[in-house]
Amino acid sequence: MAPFFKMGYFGEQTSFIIALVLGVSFGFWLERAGFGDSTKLAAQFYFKDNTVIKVMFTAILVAMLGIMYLTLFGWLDINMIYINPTFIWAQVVGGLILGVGFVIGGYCPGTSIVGAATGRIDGMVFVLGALFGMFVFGEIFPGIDTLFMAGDMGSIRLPEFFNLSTGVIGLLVVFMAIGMFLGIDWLEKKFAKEEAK
Amino acid sequence: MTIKTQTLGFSTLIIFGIIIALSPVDKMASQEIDFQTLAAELSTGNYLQADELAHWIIDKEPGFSILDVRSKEDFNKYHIPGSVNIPISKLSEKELLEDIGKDNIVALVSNGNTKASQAWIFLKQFGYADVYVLEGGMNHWVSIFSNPNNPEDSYTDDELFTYQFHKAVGPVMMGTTIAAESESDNIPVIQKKPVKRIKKKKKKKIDEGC
Repeated sequence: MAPFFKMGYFGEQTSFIIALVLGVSFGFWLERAGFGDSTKLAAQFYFKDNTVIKVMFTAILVAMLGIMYLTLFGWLDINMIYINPTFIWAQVVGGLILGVGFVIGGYCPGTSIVGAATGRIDGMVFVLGALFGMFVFGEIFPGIDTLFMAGDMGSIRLPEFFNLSTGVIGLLVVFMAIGMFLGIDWLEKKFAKEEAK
Repeated sequence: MTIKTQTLGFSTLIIFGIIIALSPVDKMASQEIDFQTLAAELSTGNYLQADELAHWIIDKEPGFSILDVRSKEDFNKYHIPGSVNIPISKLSEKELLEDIGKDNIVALVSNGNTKASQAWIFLKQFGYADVYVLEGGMNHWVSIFSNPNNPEDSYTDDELFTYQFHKAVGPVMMGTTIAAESESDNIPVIQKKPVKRIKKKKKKKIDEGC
């Protein structure tokens, strides 16, 4: 029964090796999807190339349905999965900062490592910038700890927030994703037309 | 007639979604007592030594909670500093447990080992990962901190340090403020030597995520 590590099927040392393998393959597939290229990533923000958002939503759907079905079959103990706690205001502010950085730099943290690893100079500069940002965050942290903890909601999940069953939320997310896929294609065509004018 | 790939994909998704919406996912997710796992964990050590806990308290270690499952009256008479009292009969009320973080190491305290061990099973079921029973409970705690055994004639340094540690922190650990009695009678004072900290078996909180 999954999660294998928490069920004690293998030790901490083995888990590091598995983490390395997963991490490398994550980076490899990011690169294969073309996410090591900042121009491709930045094109998302002009709706010229919606690969990023499609990949993200596909990942969300696969992970969500995967977890739900594995739970349904009794192969996964969902209570043992780590759920990042929600600090809504802290995450709104953090998300905005990350978003601005994404638009300016053309990378998000994972893809910048991929870009740097494949020898792209802008990727390396981005990684240095991210490290500098971490340093600044660490230095000013004592002054912003109230913001850091703002809007604490605990490890809440959508089913609990909306008081619906997990499966119904799953279906709603599927509908949302499909709407998103269709909408984004429509936007892409629209922007391509305006470009042509 | 050809079906577009997109239509096919979306229909599959919707079918998967509808199936999941009608399925009892939540029922499957609710925890049941897994006796095998529990039994396996029981056989491995789930005891915490009094000295180790005392060192944590003194070092103000972050990330651990002391949960006292004795009755309120007993708790009010004396208790370990910083401990929280939830009598074992009220452990099933989950709201009471909310203050104790699931990432924390939880030390369970009762008079002896029995009640704390029972509470241990409760907490394991509630999803607490690192739960330990204070070995010997309050009885042992009180005996070592209020009246530590004098080391025998041929004591080792370690025994002496343990004794002096018990003597020195006793008043604090008993929740009383009486200063330690002087102890110069029969114990030679040993020259300074760095006191070895007991190694903590603390698990780091694992942050998962992107």
